[in-house]
Formats: sequence, C-alpha cells, structure tokens
Amino acid sequence: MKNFDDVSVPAVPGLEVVVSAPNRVTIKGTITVQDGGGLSAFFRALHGRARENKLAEVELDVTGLKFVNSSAIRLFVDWAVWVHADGAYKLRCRIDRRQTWQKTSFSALTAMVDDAIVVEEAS
Amino acid sequence: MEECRLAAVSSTVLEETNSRPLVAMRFRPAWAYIDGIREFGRFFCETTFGAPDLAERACVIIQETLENAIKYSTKGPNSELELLILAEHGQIEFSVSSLPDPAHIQNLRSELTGLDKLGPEEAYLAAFLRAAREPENSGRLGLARVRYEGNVELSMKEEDGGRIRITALGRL
Repeated sequence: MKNFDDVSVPAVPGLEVVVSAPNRVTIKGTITVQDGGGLSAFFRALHGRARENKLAEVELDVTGLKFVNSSAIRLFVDWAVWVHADGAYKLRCRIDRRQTWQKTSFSALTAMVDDAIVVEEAS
Repeated sequence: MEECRLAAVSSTVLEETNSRPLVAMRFRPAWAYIDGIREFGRFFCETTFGAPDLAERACVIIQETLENAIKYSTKGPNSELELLILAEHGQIEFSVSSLPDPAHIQNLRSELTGLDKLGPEEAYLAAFLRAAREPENSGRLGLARVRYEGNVELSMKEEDGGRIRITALGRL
C-alpha cells in the first residue's frame, strides 16, 4: 500500500500544494489555469489513495487559496461527488469565510452533498 | 478599418449609457493576458473606489467573462476583445465584447435565460448540481458565479459583424 503523501503533485503556476501523512492536503495561492491544469488527475489520485488506505477522513485546507476560476471550483465539485458516491471517507474542508469564493462555493458544496463533506472555518 | 469598427462599438455603448469609460482595453483573445488584466481590475477598483469588496467582485467578473470570451472566440483579425469598465450614479458596469463562434451565441442566450429564472444563490447551486450530474461536460459554473459572487445582473447584446457584448451591472 502506498502512503497518502506519495501522490505526485502537479506543477501549476501560482499554486503551492503540500500533501502530508496521514491525510492532509494544503493548497495555497491561485488557480486560474485552463481546465484545472492537471489538478483533476491529482485530486482523483488523492481520492484513490484515501480509499486504498481506508482513511476515515481527508483534511483539505484551502484557507490560503486566495483566488480560483470556475474550472477550479469544478474540481472541488467533482471530488465531493466522488466522496458522496462511495461514502468511503469524509472530506473535511478548512476554509476562510472572508474569502468570498470559499464561502459561496463550499456552502453550495455542503448543500449538494452534506453527508460527504464537513466544512470548518478558520479562526 | 478594424480600429474604426471597434471605436464605433465603444461609442455606441457610451451613447447608450451616457457614461464616461473608466477603463477601455482592447487585446487579442489570449488566455495568457487574463491574470494581468484581472489584477489590473483589482488594483483599479481598490485605487479608484477604495473598496476592497468591489475589487474582489471585479476580479471574479473579469476572470470569468474573459475566460468565456476567449474560450469561444473565433480566430482572425476581427477577434480582438474589448473590456470596458464604467461607473456612474452608484452603479458599476463591466462589459466584454467578442466575436464568438455563432453556435456559442445561442448557448449563451439559453444560459442567461436560465439564470434569470432563479435567484443568484439558487442559480449557483443549480449550476453545481448540473456539473455534478454531467461530469463529462464542462462545468459552466462561470456565469452563475459572476452573478452571485459578483453581485451583478448579466445581459447579452448582439452587435454588428457577429460580435456580442456581455454586460455585468451592479452597485458600486
């Protein structure tokens, strides 16, 4: 079994991604590349690794993700749908509600799949 | 010739709105320009209006409207984009003119009609649900996001020569 933090991180301009064991992903910067710039495959790999490792939760910290385009928001929609579909683990999202995109998008995600994600606000 | 035509487009907008443009930019439809133009929009709104909230709204509006315009632009000498920012009487208007593939115009009209049937938050959630239902299709979250996060109303106008202008109008 491969560790959660062995997943390859794509190089996306303006973005810093840190994956740390056992289950934490921290994303900082901006995502404005066209069609997600390889992040879809990255999220899919994290999802697969979480299932393989039978994790109860994946912690996703986006508090430092200051601006994204709607293609990037779509990536979070997809991830939430995968989690909702198989129920193998929960996606615990740490957000900063002062960032408008985080407040609006994670509220919508929660409304869409409230059994799959838990949203925590940074203090 | 092209310069004259675009100038005419701008004049029409100005006559109709009786406003003075605060920003008018023309540029080729290249993805590489979006970040720079968005950040200029942020700087401009912060500097002109001293309103960080408006600057954040401007970033979303500029990013998503330019992405849409560039994705569906035709290629050629007439395909330059035009971005205008106008402000008057407590309102701010962002508009982007482009020359899209004709098939896109009908899709855009349908999208805007659909958005108008719902409130901004409800329409944004509906767009999420559609994206979730259709994982193989593009997300089409952008315009619903502009309306909700940008706190603006969206409209489309067809202009001469197959061009269209998407306008986002909201309170300052």
